[in-house]
Order: sequence, then structure tokens, then C-alpha cells
Amino acid sequence: MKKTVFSILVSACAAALSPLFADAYSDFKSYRPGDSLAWFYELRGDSSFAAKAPVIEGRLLSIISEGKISDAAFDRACEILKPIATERCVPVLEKFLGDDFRTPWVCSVFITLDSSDADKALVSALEKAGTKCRMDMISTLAARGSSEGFEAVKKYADSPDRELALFAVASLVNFVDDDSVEFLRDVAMKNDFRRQSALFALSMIAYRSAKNGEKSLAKDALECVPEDFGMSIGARAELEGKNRVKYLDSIIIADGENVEKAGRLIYNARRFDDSAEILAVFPKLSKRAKLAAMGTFMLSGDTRFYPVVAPLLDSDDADLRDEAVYMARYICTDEANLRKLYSMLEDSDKIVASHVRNVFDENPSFAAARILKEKADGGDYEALSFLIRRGDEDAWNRLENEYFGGGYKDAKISKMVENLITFGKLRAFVSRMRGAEEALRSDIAKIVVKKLAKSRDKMFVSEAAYEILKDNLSPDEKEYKFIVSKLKTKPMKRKDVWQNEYRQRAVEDSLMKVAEEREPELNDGGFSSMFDGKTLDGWRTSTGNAAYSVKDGCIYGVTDPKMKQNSFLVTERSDYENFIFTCEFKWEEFGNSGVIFRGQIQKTEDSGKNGSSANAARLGYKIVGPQAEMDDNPKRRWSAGIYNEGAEWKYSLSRKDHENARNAVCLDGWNRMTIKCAGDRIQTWLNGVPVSDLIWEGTKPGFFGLQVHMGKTGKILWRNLKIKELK
Amino acid sequence: MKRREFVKKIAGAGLAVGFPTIIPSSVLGRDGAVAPSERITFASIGLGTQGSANTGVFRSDKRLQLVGLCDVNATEGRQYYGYSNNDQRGLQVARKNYGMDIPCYNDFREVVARKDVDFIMSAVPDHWHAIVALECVAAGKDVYGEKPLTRTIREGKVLRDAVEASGIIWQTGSWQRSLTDFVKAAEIVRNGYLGRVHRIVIGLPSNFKAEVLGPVPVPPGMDWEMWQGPAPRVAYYNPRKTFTRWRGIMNYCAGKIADWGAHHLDIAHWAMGVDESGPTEIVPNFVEWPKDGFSDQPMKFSVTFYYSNGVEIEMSDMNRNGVEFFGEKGSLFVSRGMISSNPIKISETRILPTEDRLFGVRAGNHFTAFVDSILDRRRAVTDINIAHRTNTGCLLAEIAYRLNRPIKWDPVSEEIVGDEEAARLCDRAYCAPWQLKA
Repeated sequence: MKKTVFSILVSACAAALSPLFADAYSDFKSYRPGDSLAWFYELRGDSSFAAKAPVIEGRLLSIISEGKISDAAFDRACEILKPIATERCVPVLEKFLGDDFRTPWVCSVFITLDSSDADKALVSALEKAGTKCRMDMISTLAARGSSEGFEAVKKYADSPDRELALFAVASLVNFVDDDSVEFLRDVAMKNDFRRQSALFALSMIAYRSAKNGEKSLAKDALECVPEDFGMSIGARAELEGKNRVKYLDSIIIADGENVEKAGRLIYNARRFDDSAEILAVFPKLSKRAKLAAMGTFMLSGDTRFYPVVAPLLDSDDADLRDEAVYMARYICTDEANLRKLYSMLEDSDKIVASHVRNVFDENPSFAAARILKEKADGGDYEALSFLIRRGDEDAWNRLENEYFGGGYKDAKISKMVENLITFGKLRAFVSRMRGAEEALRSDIAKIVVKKLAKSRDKMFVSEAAYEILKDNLSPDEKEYKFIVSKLKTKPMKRKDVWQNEYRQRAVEDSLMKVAEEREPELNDGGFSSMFDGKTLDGWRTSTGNAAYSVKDGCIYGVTDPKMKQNSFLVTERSDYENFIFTCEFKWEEFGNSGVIFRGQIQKTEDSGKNGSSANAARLGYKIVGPQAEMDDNPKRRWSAGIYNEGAEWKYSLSRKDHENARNAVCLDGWNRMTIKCAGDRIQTWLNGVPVSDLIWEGTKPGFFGLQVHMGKTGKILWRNLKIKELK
Repeated sequence: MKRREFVKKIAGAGLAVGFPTIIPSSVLGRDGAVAPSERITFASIGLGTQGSANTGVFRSDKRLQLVGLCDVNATEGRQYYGYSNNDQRGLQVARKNYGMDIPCYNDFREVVARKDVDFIMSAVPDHWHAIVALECVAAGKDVYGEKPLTRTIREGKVLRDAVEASGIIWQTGSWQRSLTDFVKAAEIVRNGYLGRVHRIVIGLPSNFKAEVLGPVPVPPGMDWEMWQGPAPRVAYYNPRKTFTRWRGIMNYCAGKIADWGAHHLDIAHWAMGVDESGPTEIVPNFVEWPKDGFSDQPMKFSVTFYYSNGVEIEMSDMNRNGVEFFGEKGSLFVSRGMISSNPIKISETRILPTEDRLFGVRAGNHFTAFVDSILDRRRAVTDINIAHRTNTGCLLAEIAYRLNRPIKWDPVSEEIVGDEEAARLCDRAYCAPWQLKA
């Protein structure tokens, strides 16, 4: 820190201040960025005392007028001066108006300074300054709002410098009076590049004056503002004494042009059951509003809307007709309209016809199915193919029978079969090849090739070919060779590669020993029941929002798709240490689950730490401990494996020699899971099959918990929960 | 055609054919997916800590489609930051996270000018709030704007007027209003379960500690000029300090009092029902300024607000973080993830449907509530005037401790009464070419 010798004057001033900071001014004088700012804090602190403020102002101004202080020192000085400045700072600071760096700082002092000198200084400096500084000063003058300022700013609104002119026009919004309105209206009328800026300013002036009760000024300001200028909505609503949102609704309903959001507003109305009004107004809407409204009708899924839209099927306007056809896919359920649509299949316009096809592929109503059935019975192959695509088994059988009954000779039927057959039906289809005549066999082979060749996945093609051809054709048959050569693939059995996908999640799975010990005897009378079959007495809910209840003598857990945390129904007792526990479980709807034992509740570390709501919304607690998994994944089947809840797998079933354990689970029925904890040894059995056998040191006595994992689905039943505590 | 084909695919995948009823919400698939052409599009301006978090949350809403990213920081995140999580900031990281094909911008005006953007998520530093927001309003975009609303009181008034004149949907990022604990606390207070409330104590975090720093060269990829925008120009400081700590500098931010006051004072206002009003007197009880260093905000502060209904609110960084209400019948403390009371039963009060209920969010969270508001054009949970009034309170506290004297405020005319010096701190000058339009 540099220090200079005190002048007599400085020490005189310093004496009036705190002696400790006597050198604050000299530090100010010599301040460079990166130096200590102690002087700044001291002077700013002192400036809040009424007695010291004028002294500080005087000293700072005298040093500034001497010149030779850095820009950084200047900005800090202005920061101090801003609240305490008086008229006497104007002559000192105005010299710096025009300096690119210092002008904003001078403006920051002047902007709220109650002195007409400041206006004069700014107006006179405007003439000489460059564009950037001019802008600084224009916005300062505008914020000050004096009449001198208005005249000065107005001049620049006609500046040849486009940017400056725009800037000046935008600034005029601060002057809420007749002169300003008149000037802005002239600008807007000229219809040049400044129009939008002027309209914005006029709208804002109108809004403010309308709020202050100066209605005539507001009306003047709005005179040349188009009704659909978004910013004018507030002022117009204010003039009519309406809520702005309601006002917006009313203009949209009255006149659908104008609005991007007509459809959304109508959507709004629908949600509040004002559909009668919407339906009445729909035919009057403009094209654009109609299209927007139709979009929301469709999104609503509400079939009441279709009859209003249906007349548009005859519309000459292609867009509207298109949209009407498109909507029929989802919300058209009445037979008359569907019949009309069906007749449009013959439409000369191919695009319309293709949209109609989509309607009949996907429209889920009974009426559509009825029409198609009727047409198919009448021999309409197109209707038949719609039915097949919609998953109608009878229709497929009909086509298949027709094909094998001689229809294969008809190229049209053969083509239909090729288009409509699914991979799942191919094997059964090929099996009918045996003993058939030559032409049929080769046609079937061709269909198989065409169907499989649509897939670009070589692996899939080879596996699918194996599945389809296995036991149906022998490799030395002509058709087999034909298919293989055309597909350029070798039929191969599907490999069991899936275990590798999960292996990485397993912890030390190579060290796990395979469980062999037999399941303990469960009917020896030493067991006591943990669930009375009627109430959840002895249990309580814990983390997560899943719903637990009693259903048909079982505990029934249902997941909440929105929950961000796993749910547990836990025992009220939390000192279970050594025990044999057994229960039966079943999935009503698949979802990950499990039984936690020796469970503990823990505060989460990150609750509320991060600023995002997702984190703070968490409850702040989590459940930890060993969990006997109930795995709904049909490929993985790691049920009764041990998972360290919230962390990692302790005993996964990923190895080849866990095959028996993996196959123990019954995914669509009841499973009996038994858990034995004795000291550090944890063992599980599933349906009598030994699954896990793990030594895990450091678990503590705790509670049992029935998990419902977060996720989109999951409905799980538990029953026969019994425990035998071991000494 | 494209739109149609896409919808077909989605619908085909999720549909049980021949299902006798109508698909709920039609093209909305089972998980609520909407075809891209039907989605509400949004762009994010400002991709710092909060901006990235907000963008992530909005992206997870299936009704929305991210179509633009804007930030002035295109540096290699990790190179210039040293604090945890800092490598998750800036344009480059955002592109990596959200998709390299999303158009990127340095200048927010280009994003706002795009016709295909429905709403803007703005999470720029505080000194930028008013300008970015006004630009969006003028373009008719709905805005999710971060708190605190603006840097100065005048900016707040201007922005409030502009939003109200326009009919756009505005929601402020003061998301505590959408947390159940805070809703419950406010309902308990409003329905008189604490009796008459006479005192509320708010705890905020402290400002960043002051450090002495020297200027350094601007790193490549950082548009320092644009970052400063309307604020007065200064040299570039070590970004490790400035970019986690611009909140410590008065040119950019009013500090934690506005940052966190926007949350806690907001809740106090809500509970007292003075959403559209404000304090009448603001008294600084204690303020300790740094002796030196880069951050020019108080190291400790305590301010008391007095309201015309007789309530006083004490706000300080020396209280425990949260809002504590003291009433005739007991006290109630609420903070993120915690609500407690003395006597204990007050916090367990069940508010009946017929009582004065506050519906923070209709469903979901603060972010989905905003999207709901966009769809049905209802007033958002934290509308502009609510945020403006809260922010005004915080900024008045800043002015009061800055001048170290009590100031009086007229909540109707929104003027400081009888203190010219204090009134001067309600506005600031802008650096060209930026201006406060209107």
C-alpha cells in the first residue's frame, strides 16, 4: 500500500474523521485495481453520518478535480458519492461526461440527484459526446424525466444513426405526458423501423396513465396502437375495467385472428367446463384459431368436440379438412362420421386417403370396429387388413385360411399376407409348409425371406431364422437353403449374453459361495405371526409415498409413479437381530421390491443443500440395510439376492452356478422367501431353493421393511409373514 | 406430414388396439409424452448454477422441448473454475448435456427474437434480470425468471408494469412457495392457529467473505463485455472468485439478503397476506462491513421490517436458516425440509378445505405448475407483483443497512418517504447500449 506525505489540508480533514483512517484519501488517490479497498469501506461507512457526508464529498471531489486518479478509484468514489452527492458535485463530475469509461459512473450519481444542474450538464454534454456516451446520458435523462431532458432526447429520435434513434424512442416511455404521446404517435405513423419501439412505448404510457386514472391520455396513446399489439392488452383491459387475462379470453373468443394461443385459451375454457360456449363459437373462428382449437380438442381426448369439427370434412380448405381427418383418429366415435370417413378412402387425393387409413388403423372406438367388420364380411380386403392390423385374430385366421385354401396363387392375397404377418406368427405359418405342394412351399419361403429381410439387424435375423426354421424345415431341404442364401445369414441359436450386462453391478461376485444349506423347518411352532391379516398393526409407513393397505388377508403395496424415493412399510419394533423370517409374496403388477431386514433409518446428506427443488423436496430420510431382493426383471431374476439398500449388490445372482437360484422365482404366482440372520451370516431361500449365503460384517439390529420401489408400476402382495427369533 | 407420422408412431407404440374407450389425453402416451410438434418450446438464457438446474428440470417435462441455449460463458468450464459443481456451468457443458444440435447464442436478443420459442427460462445474474425480462415481454414470450426479481426497485416497478400490460405468464423462481412445508406453515398462520402473529424471525445465509484480488486477462470464450452488460465496466477478476461470487458485489447483486430474502421474506409475506403490499418502516439493527477486499457487502447484518398491521419481521444472517413465526398461541418454525412448532401440535394442524387455503401448485412441482399456467393462461404461482413486492422489501433492507439508518416506505405509492439519499439508491444508471425500456 502506497502512502504519501500528508499535506496540511489532508491532515486537517483527517483530524475531523477517525484518526485510524487518516490516510483514506491518499489511498483513494493512489488506488489501482487489486490494491486494498480499506479506504473505500471506511469512507463509505462514514458517509452514512450526516455530519461527515459533506466533508467526505468535498474531499473526494477535490481529489477528483485535481485529476490523476485511476478509473477504478473513480468508480469507487462515485459509489460513495451516489447517495450523498449534492449540487456541488455537478461541475466536477460533468467534465467526465463523454469519457467512455467514466460516463456511466457519473450517470449513476446523476440519475437520482435532485438538481436541475445535472439535467443541464447532461444536455450540454450530449452534443459533444460519442454514441455510447450519448446513450448512457439519454437513458439517464429519461429516467430523470425532466422537460429539458425530454426536448434533448426527442432530438435524437430523428438521428440518422439508426441505433441511437431507436434508443431515444424507447427512452421516451419514461415521459408520461401529452407531448411525449404526441411525438411517439407521429413516430409510429411514419411506419419506419422505429414503429415497434414507439408502439411499445405508447402502450406502456397508456397502461400507466390508465392505472393512474388519466383515461384521456391513455386513449390518446392507444389511438394508433393496433388492437392486436400484445403490450396494449393491459391498457385496454384497464380502460374497460377488466382483468387482463379475462380480457384476453374475451377478445380471442370474439375474434380468433390475432392470437398464437387461441387453442390454448380454449383448452383453458374446456378445463373449466365452459365447453358449451366454445362449441358455439367454434364455427365463427378464423382459420388459424380453428386450427389451434382443433389441436387442443384433440389433446383433450374429449369426444364431445368431434361433431363440431365434422362439417370441416367437407371443407374446401385442405388444411382444415386434413386436420379434421387427423383428429378423427382419436376423438371420433360416432358411426355416421366414421362411415363418411371410410368413404373418403376412395378419395382421389392420396394424402387424404392415407390419413383416413391412419384413422381406421388406430381409432379405438367400437363403431370403427363395427364398420370394418361389416365391410370385411362384405368381401372388402382393405377392411380385413385394417382389422388384422388392429389385432383381430379372427380376421387373421380368415386371411390365413383363404391363403392356404388356394389364395396363395393370387398375388394380391400373397402380398397381403406378407404385409400383415408378424414375426410372432411366422413360426406357426411356416409349420404349415410340411406336406404342402411345391408352389405353396416356395411362396411361403419367399414371404419368410421378405419379412425377415426387412430387419437390418443381422443378429436378429439369424436368431429369428433359427427360431422359425427349427423343427419346421431340415437344413437339406430346398426351401431352407433358399431362405438361408437369400438372407445371407446362418441361423443361430440365441446366446445367453445378458448376464454380462448386469455383472458390473455385482460386488465381489467371484468370491460368493453358492448357497447349499437346506431351508430351515418353518412349521416347528416356534414362529410367531407378524401380520394379523386384517390390520397393519405393528407396521408403519416410512419413506416414499407408496400406498400400503390390507387386501384379501395380504399386505398390499402400490407404487406412486411420482415418488422420488423408495417406499417401505416397516415394523414398529426395530431390534430384530438374529432370526428366521419367512413370508410369501406375489406381483399383481410388476415392479421392483424386496424385504429389508436389520434396517436403519438415516438422514440424507443432501437434503436441501442444493438449490434445486428436486433435492429439497426429498423427505430428508432414507432407509438403509440389507435387502432380500424381489426382482421382477424376467431376464435377470435375482430374487432373494442380497442388496445393500441404496448402495450396491452384496450377493447378486450373476454367476453361471447361480442358475438354480435364478430359476427359483415364480413371476406369476406366490413365492416363499425365507431369511436367516445369525450373527454376520445371512442366508436366504426362495421357494425352498437356497439362494444367498453371505458373511456381512457390521449390520446392526433393526426393523423389517417391505419395499415398494419407485417406478412407473408395481403392485405387490405379501402374506404369511412369520418370524422365529434366535438366541 | 412429419408431425403426423411421428404421432402415429407414438400412438401405435402405446395403444392397445380395439380398446373400447378413448385414449386419455390422446397423443399423450402413457408416460405423458407429447409429439414434438405439440410441445411447448423453450430456450434457456443463462446457464450457470441455477440456469442449468432449471433447464434440466424443464427438459424432464414431456410437454416441453428445449430449442435454444444462451450464455456468454463458452469457456472450458473446469479450466476456469475451482469450486465443486462448477464444471457443470456454461454453454459448452450445456451443449454436451442437452444436445450439440440445439442452437446456441451469445446474445440473448437473438433467442428472444425467435418466433418458434414459446417461453424463456432466464437465469442470468441479477443486474441483467430486468433487461432480459423486458426483452421477452416485448416479444410476447412467457417467462420463468429467476429470483431476485431485479437489481433495483425502479427496475422492479418497470418490469411489473410491463408484464401486467402485456398478458404474458410470468413465474419467478421462488420455488419455496411450491413446497408443502411452506404452504402448510403459511396456511397455519393465515388461519390463526398461532393467534395474532406479532413477530417473524428470518434467518439467511451470510454473504461471501471478502478477498483481496487483482485483475486478470479475460479467458478465451468469455464475453466479459456482455456479462457486465448494464453494470459499470470494471476489470476482469479471477473468475474463480467472480463467478461463484458475483453475488458479493453490489454492482451485480444485493447479496444474500435479496438472494435468500426472495425465498424467506416471500413466505413471510405470503403467510401474513401482504403479497401485494410491503413494509412501512425498515430499521437496520446491525451491520458489519468488510474492512477490505473484493466483496463489498456486509459480513453480518440484521434488519427489522415493520408492517402496518403491527407485525415486525427480523431478517438477519445470524438467525437459523428459515422462517419462525411468533404468535399469541405459540411459535412455528419452517425451513427447507422441516416444520416444527411450540407447542408441537400446531405444526400438525390439519387445515380444512373450507379454511383459507393456499394452493402453491396444482400438481407436480414449481416447474410443472408454470407449464400448466402457460397452457391454461392462469396466473402463475409466483406472479410478477408478488415477486416485486418481496424483492422490494429485500432491496429496502439493503438500502437501510447501506445508509445505516431507518427508512420509511409507502407501499401504496411505492416511494421512500422523506429520505432523499435513500431514494437515490432506488435506481441506477445503465451502461450503453443497454437501457431500461419503460
